[in-house]
Amino acid sequence: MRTGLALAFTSALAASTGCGGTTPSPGLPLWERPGLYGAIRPEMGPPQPGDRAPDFELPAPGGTFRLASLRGTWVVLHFTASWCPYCDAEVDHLGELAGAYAPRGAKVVLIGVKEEPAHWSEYARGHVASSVLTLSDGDGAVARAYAPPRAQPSFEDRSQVMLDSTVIVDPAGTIRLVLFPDSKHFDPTFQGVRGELDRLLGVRSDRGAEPLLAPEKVVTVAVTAPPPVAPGGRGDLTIELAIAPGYHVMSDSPSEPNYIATRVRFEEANDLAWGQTRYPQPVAFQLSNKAISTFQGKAVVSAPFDVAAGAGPGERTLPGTVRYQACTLTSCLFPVTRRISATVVIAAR
Amino acid sequence: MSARAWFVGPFVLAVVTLGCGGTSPPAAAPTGAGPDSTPAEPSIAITPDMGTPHVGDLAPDFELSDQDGHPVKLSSLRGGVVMLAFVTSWCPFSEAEQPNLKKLADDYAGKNVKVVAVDIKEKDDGYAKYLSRVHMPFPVLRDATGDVTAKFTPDRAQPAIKDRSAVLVTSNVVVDGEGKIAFFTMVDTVHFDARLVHARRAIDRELTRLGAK
Repeated sequence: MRTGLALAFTSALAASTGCGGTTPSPGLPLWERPGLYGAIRPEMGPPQPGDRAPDFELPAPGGTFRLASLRGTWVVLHFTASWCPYCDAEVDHLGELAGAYAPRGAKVVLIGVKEEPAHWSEYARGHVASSVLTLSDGDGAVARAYAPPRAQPSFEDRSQVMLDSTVIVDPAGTIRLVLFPDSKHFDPTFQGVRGELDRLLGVRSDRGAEPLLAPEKVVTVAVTAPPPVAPGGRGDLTIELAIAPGYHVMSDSPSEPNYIATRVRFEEANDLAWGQTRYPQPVAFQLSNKAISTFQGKAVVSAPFDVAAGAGPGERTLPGTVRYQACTLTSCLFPVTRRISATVVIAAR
Repeated sequence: MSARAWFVGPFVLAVVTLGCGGTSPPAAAPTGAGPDSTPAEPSIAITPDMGTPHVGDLAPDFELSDQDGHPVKLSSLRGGVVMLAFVTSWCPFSEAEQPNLKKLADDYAGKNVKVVAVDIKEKDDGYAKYLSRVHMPFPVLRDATGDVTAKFTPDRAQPAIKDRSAVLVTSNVVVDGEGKIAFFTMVDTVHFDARLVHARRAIDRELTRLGAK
């Protein structure tokens, strides 16, 4: 069964390569992409991606919230109800999504549909992260404005069509995604929404147009030697790890003992003693329900060494390795050990 | 490019199994898929990777009270086909299905089919709301604790849902003449089968099997 799952996902990944913009024309339509099977279809009627997001006003702490006030910002609207177990299973992860995308300028708004106000504020206080703006759509009018007329036609109360749905609105106020719940591929951690946000915000991820890199290609390693070091002196090798955008590698002190630490090592050499390798500050990466310790972007490692007092002058070639294990937002690659080398010059006495 | 072959990280599997229903190969379409326009794929068929109970297993037996206070025991219905519908008053899918469930019962009246709804974990007002919406001419059992429903929930279906009885909201189970599960679906929010087309096909199939004996 595990093989089956892995295979299913591999083919899904293959299917996701070569996707283009929001419009269905290049590549697969949105609703055929992994994580987005619940996406709105044209036959459901408006509002559709490309349409102006219906503006609305709802009471908010300290005044009135108006959607149009967030023009210039990416907005993720999520419709929910406190009594809906599927919705509730998602709420924690919505907070994580809000935290993860706030630095990239996206605001997450949670709308309780047809909730009794006192009950809703109690639920919001107890269940929803403070990074999420919570609003109460008491009579369901906002949900109704977003419910396409031909989605779930058997629902009489049209506000209920939007329960557990997510809408992405771009900075110009245009709808970019309407994603209905898909109980078949229940996605409580919002991987589908995150992937689409990444794509829209221009962050490279494996759910976008590009296939995964080979693990060896994820990190570009550049080793810089210090100026010639005199016998008895000390030098520092600088190993710059340039990590491809959208990827991270585990830091030198990973969050779990079974994760693979990033390690730079040089072989023992005559006349040379290695000191303690220094690694940069790790970067937290939000993985589903916890943060893990990673390196992203550029990580500069330094490997200090002492040259023996009696060392003769000349060049020393120092072979070494860099070991790391890389992941993207959703996929992890096998760990690799790459060979590196440095040439150090020992100055004449 | 072989990079994809390395695509076996533990996080990936964790993500994929959350929606385990969809990752399995599609279940076989019912034989003689009908002339109507309903997709041949039955809503969300319970698949073996979701664990037990599964199609072919003996349906977990239970006894619950109906709206008139009469106890109904599943095993006492053995010999006929039983259509079990797990419902709640608050679920829009249950609500949309409700008139169709009544229609199904009406259409199969006089045949060897017993329709039984199981209302999951509701307070008095919720249960009363479900009963008041449409007159249901069959037992609407009250599973006040959700314990009976949870016995039907396949153990690895929707693992993110902590309340195991909630996984089965708007699920349909057809039990055959020997008390075994013959058809088992969870609600498919993308291709919602409000008219119970697939459940009807399963009932017809079981009636044919019973008649052939």
